[in-house]
Amino acid sequence: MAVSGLTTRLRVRLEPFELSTDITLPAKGVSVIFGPSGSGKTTLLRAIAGLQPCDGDIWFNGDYWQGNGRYRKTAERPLAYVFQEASLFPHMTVSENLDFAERYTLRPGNASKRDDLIELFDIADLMSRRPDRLSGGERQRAAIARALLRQPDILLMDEPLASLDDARKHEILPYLERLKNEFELPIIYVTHSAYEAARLGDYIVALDKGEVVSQGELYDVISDPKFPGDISREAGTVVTGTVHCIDAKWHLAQIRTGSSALITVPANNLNPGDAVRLWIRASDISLSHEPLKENSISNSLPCQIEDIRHDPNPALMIIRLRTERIELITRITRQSASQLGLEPQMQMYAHIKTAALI
Amino acid sequence: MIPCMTDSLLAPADIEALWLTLKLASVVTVLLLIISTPLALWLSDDDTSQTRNRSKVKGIVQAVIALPLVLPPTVLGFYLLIAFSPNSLLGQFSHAIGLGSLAFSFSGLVIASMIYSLPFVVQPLVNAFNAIGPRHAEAAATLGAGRWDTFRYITLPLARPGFITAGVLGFAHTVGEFGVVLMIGGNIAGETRVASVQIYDHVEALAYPQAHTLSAILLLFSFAVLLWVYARQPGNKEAKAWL
Repeated sequence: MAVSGLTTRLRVRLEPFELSTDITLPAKGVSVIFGPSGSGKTTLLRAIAGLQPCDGDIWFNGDYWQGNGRYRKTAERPLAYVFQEASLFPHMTVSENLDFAERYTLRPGNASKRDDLIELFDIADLMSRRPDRLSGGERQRAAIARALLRQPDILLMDEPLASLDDARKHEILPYLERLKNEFELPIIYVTHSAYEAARLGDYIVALDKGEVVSQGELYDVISDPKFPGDISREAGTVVTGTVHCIDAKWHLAQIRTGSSALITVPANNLNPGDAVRLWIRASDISLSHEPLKENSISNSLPCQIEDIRHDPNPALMIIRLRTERIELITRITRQSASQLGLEPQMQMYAHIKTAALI
Repeated sequence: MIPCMTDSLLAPADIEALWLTLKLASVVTVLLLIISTPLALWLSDDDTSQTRNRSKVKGIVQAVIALPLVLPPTVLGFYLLIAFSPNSLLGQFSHAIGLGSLAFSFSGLVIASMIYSLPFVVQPLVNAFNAIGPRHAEAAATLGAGRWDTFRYITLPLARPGFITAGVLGFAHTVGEFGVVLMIGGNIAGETRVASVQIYDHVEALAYPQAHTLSAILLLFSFAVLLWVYARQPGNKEAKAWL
């Protein structure tokens, strides 16, 4: 058993199947529990929090929350929880909601925390308002600040963006990134969105029909073609890099992902030196033997074929590619694979149609 | 308590009956709110564990609570009379703790009224707790609040409208009680002769003007209470316009 982190060995009856997991999540960073709706991911999170009765053991940083003859009630587990729908108490102002959380803080005497959180989540102007006078995004920001005021040892988040529209999602995501970067707090984040998983996750557990179908570091799991969800849409690669330079004339940014590999993306509000993550879909990469000179695709990287696998779709093949620093996966038709005569170890050029900043 | 202009119409015995009614309804309402709260919390609690066994027991309890809604008051009164007899367990117990005989006493009337008005207090509370749902209590638990704090700071304030409705209905229904009182309380001035019984006495004695006054007071009171309760239902604008 790991020395730190969260281990669960759970069984929950969950019609029409049984949720059965045996997972160990790291004690730091963001662990994403990913799966389609009805896969049991929210049930798993609720079981970890003690909100859902279950059989099995839950063990966190050397302490049994459940099992070994012990059971800690939700309030006795050093966690905080952000719910999918707004969970602020409707009869209290935002400020009173924060007071409530502060009353039960796990680290009393850390008074500056409140002001820091109010600033971090930009809720100073909302303090005297009641939840029904807040927008969905404002409510969720206040709810996250309230959860953090408990100063928990671990933060559980159940699809905190799922009830928001796209514009609100993009309003909240930067706050979640700050949360991830500025707090040394392990987070378990439940989502059905591959985009959120790729943008925030460090460790991924993919669930389907109550069972863990794959788990591991983000980069390994998300490029695994077994990754659940609509595979042809969701499979892809997450690439990290830094902004090398900005082309002001064309509003493009060049992202350096190794000593030589450069990927060009729309500049948006990037500055040189910014650390970024890119999401490259398997279906947005094509292959050729020679570098292309004239085409609309601006990103061509030399690469080597690592392996070639069959896709669940009989018309397609999955090709793993290795460039200097990064690994890509692409999905091309079996016909093109045959015409190009693809073999493992072959040197090719990968053409990236688009790479999304995430 | 009663304005001067009614002095000529309300005899001291009428005022005494009204005062007794008020006292009975107040005591009953306070006691009912106290015992109905845990009962309603239990009935509304949809804990997913052991759902099947609990829902069976809950069904029985709910049926028992609702009995006074359908039983003739005479049936309820008859059984209570037997239960209150000095030879019964309850009768012996009340003697042992110094309450004396329960039949034909104010204490007996309180117990009978509590049974009689129980569904009118429990049901609004169950509805209120169900409307709140488990979500806020769960949020409180994840913030570290124990059961009592969650009840005091979250459930109780959110269920306040339900408590007010429950209290008002319990009070009004006790004021309107007649048959059970007659069966187990009899007609003892200052002890068990409440307003509804007093009206019956007036009518029997053909004292119609006195019966008119007391009846009008009860009619106006009951209508005002019901109007207020219905006006509180969200979206009921017609009733609100009258308030």
